[in-house]
Order: sequence, then structure tokens, then C-alpha cells
Amino acid sequence: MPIYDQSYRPYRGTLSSHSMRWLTIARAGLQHYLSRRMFLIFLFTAFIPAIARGVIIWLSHQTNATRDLTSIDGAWFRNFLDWQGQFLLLVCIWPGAILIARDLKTNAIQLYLSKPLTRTDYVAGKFAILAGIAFLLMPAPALLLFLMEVGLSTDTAFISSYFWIPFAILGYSLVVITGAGLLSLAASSFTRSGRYAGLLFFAIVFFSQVGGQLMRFITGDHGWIVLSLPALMDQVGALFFGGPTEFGLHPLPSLLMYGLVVGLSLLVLRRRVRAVEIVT
Amino acid sequence: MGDMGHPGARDGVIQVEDLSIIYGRHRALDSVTASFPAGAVGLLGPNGAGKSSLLKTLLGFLTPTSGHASVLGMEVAARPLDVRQKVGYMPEIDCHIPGMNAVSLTAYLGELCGMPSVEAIQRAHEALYYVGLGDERYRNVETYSTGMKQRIKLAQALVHGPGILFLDEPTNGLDPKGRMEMLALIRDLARRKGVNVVLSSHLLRDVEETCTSVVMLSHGKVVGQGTIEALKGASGELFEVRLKGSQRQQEQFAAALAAVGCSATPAQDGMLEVALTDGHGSELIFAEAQRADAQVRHLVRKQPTLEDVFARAVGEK
Repeated sequence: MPIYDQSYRPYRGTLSSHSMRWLTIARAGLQHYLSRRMFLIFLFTAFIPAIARGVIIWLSHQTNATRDLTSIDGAWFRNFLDWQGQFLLLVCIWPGAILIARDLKTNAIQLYLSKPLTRTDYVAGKFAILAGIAFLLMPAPALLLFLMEVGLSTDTAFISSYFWIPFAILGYSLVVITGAGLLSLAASSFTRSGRYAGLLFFAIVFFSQVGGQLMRFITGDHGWIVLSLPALMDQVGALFFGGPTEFGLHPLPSLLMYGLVVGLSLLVLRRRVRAVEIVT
Repeated sequence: MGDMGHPGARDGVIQVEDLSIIYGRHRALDSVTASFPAGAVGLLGPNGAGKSSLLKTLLGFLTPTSGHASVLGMEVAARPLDVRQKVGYMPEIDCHIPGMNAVSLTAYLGELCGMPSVEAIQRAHEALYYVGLGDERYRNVETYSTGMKQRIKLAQALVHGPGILFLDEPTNGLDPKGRMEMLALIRDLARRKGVNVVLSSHLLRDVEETCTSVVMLSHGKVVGQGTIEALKGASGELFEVRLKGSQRQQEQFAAALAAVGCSATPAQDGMLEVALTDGHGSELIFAEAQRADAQVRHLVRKQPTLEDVFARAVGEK
């Protein structure tokens, strides 16, 4: 039978609204990674610090001796998020840095954008994959630990003193994940190789740290530390959780630097994510 | 094929007016004005003529320097998403989404068009069967042959039931059997399934076998458009001529024909291919041969092909 005798009919069904189609990209991406054993092993590893801290919370409510050893407060949660930030860094390298590079390699962006999607939808979908994974690594376990502490507390002293912690967790995570995620996607859009994109992201983070410290050392001015992305995150942490920063800087330069990183990342994505590569 | 019920079908499913695209100093499209009627329309031109640029402009990928275009009555610049909702695009380049099999890829792209997940999967199966990938639909697309990749590109373009298909060099890299099957699919879509098709190709035979109309581009300009039959008729009469005479006499003969708007170009085996414009008959050939002191030894009327039409339109020998 000739192949064209097989059926084909026009589609007469319903169509979803355009505004949420980026979610399709996010859902497909998350499903893809959550079905991979290697990724699940990584996720489990990333949960170990949370499990350990959960044990600490539990123990602190069992004996007064352990309670005296650990003070569960804003600094404790900030420290936990700083620790989880290492895993975020890894996620930005893999799978973050391959999210767009892989599509560039296989010319998939043209397929995406030939559908009723904007470039913003595409980038939002890819960012949501990264943000979804990062949510599992940072704010989700932190919020669970907070709830655990509240649940095990016999009085309202903790909740009345630290009711702001969940907001700080969410705010800090949002800022860190947005900055790191967009930077990772921007690096990913620079090359068709996921490996090189990962290296590029790592190099940006590493050399920003080296550059910031070097400039601080040469000039003796602590202000140069804002060039360091890890130090920038420390500043942001201080903004949300209070407490001291390593160099006691005013938060404004850090916020400006953060805005610059986000702005440049968006600019790169705008220039690099196109259905057609124009060579003049 | 009649009006497909789409807005704009009466005046042509695609309207392009004074469209120019300039990349740096290169003018990819130069004041292109064209109308694509319903049915299968060939977008013809040699490599670099501007065919892909035109399709990409119609999809909203490229912003025109001047002019405007509408697809199914929708202005591309104002409503690119609505246009892409109604258009299925089969790109020329090899492209796929890594790590997916044919079903998941086609269904995923259907979902990106707004189809509910279950229906997208169902449609993906149908589209893959239709293009002849039914048995291979669970294989990872990265392992597909070139022919299979062409078919999956067609399936993904069809999955959301578009009113119009843009096919950019769909037979590229196909073996003769694959090419025949691809052309059969395109004919079926245009003639029996009610899908408007724009077939961009530099292969004139592909267009002649599948399309009823053409828009011809050369160096970014439209050099001819209309139904193939009308263009063949309008191209005047074509003759295969053998002259007995010296080279100088043959050149004199060709020059005399050129002076009245006709042409005589060397063909195979020492023949001349003589194209006469409307209003001239074979007696002109005899008269000019006599004037050049040459003898006509062979004269056969030729059925003009699309290749002849195109060659004359772009002024190629």
C-alpha cells in the first residue's frame, strides 16, 4: 500500500493558551532529568547535608546537651543554603550549561521557534528546568528543615523569633538561582558544546573570584570584592539573613553588580538564542 | 484545489509586498512582491536566490528591512505567533531535539503548539504512520538515516494540523525511492488532504511533479510567477534546430533572433535551442537562416519544461 494512503486528518481539537507554553519545555526537561539514574544519585547526594541537619534538629530536641551545641537560627539556615550553593554550582555546570548548547548543536532552536513560541518562552522554559532542579536543592530542603524545627518545638519561641526565615530562604534562593541560572544559560548559548559551556561557566565563576581577590590585594580596597561572584552571593545572603559579611561592605555595589550579571546574561541570551544565525 | 476556507485564500494564501531583507551589504530579498495561491506552490530558485530567507521572513524569524507579508490573512510582523500556529515548517537543515524518539519528539512539538498531551501523542503516531515511520517510531531520532530524518521533519511539521506547510528542500539527501515517496506525500497533502504547500527547492523537477504554481526567485528578486501551465504557454515556442553553416553564420543567425527578442542558444550535438516569443512562428527561423546564408537541416518543436521557463526567466543560457 502506498504510504500516502495512510490516514492524515486536520486537527480540530482544543489548543492551550500561548502564555503557559514555556511550561511544556520545563516539564519535559524536568521529566527527562528526573528519569535519569545518574541525576537521581546526584540529587540524593545533594540531600545528604539536609538529612544530616535534620538529624541535628531531631537530636537537639531529644537532649538538652545537643541543644546547647547547636543554635538553630537565621545564620544556621544561611550556612545551610551556602553549603547547598555548591550543589547549585554543579547543577549550573551540568545540566545547566548543556540546556541551550545541546539545542544549538542539533539545530533544535529552529524547531522550537518554528512553533508558536517566542524566544522569551524558550529561555523561560529552559530557565525553569534549571530553577526547578535548584528549588529541590536549596529552598525546598531548607523550608522542610524550618518546618521540622517548628514541628518539634514545644513552644512558640522559635516561630515568633524567626518567622522571617522562610521569606529569607525564598528571597535568597530566588536571587541566587536567578543570577546563577541565567549566567549558566548565557554560557550555554555561547557554544554548541555542553562541555565547553560548562567549562566557560566554571571559568567565569573561578576567575571572577580570583580577579576580585587579586584586585582587593593589589589596591587594598575591599570594594573590589564585588567582582567575585561567590563573594557577591555572600553579600546577598547578608542582605536577606542579616549578620556580617566577610568584608563588611555596603550592599548597594553588590546589588548593582548582581544587576549587571543578570542584565549581561539576558543580553547574551537575546543575541544568541535565534531561529536563524545571520552571518554578514 | 479550491479555497481551503482560510482567510486570505481568495486572494492567495500568502501575500508579499515590496519585501526586502538586507544582511550587511548583501541584499537577500530585493523588493519582492508575490502572491501564493492556494494549493501547492513551488518556490524556485538557485542556491542563494533568497528562497529560505523568504520562508524565514514568512515565519517571523527575520525582520524585513522594508515591505510586509501576510500568511492566511495574518500580517506576519504583527502576529508571528498566530502565523506559526497555522504553519508547519520543515527546515532545510538537519535538526532534532536530542535524546528523544520520534514519537516523543513529534508529540512534544505538538504540545508546544498548544495541543493537550494525550492528543499530541495520538497525533504524533498518526503523523509518523502517515510519513512512513510507523515501524521506526520508537527509535531515537539521532540514529535515523538522512531519509528518515527528512520524514520526521515532515511529521513534526504536520502534527498540529497546519493550514499551510513550508517545505524547505524536502528531498535533500534522499535516494531516488525516498525522493519519489516524499514527492508523493507532498502531492497527497496538497491534492487530497487540503493542506496548502509552499515547496522551496532548487530542483525544478520536484516542483514540476508536485506543484501547480510557482514563484521564481533569482538574486533576491522575483523573476516570474503564476501557474506552471500558464508560464510554459507564455514562454512562447521552443524549437530544436540544426543549421548547416559556419560558426560566423550561426552567430549571425543568433544575433538576428536576439534583435527581435528571441534567442538561439547552443544545445547538445551541435543543435541550437531556439526560443521564440509570442507573435513569432517557425517561419522566422527559416527567414533568419536564409538571411545568414545558412541552411535549416533539422527543426523540431519542443515541449517547454519548467527548466526552460526558469532559464528564460533568469536569462540563463
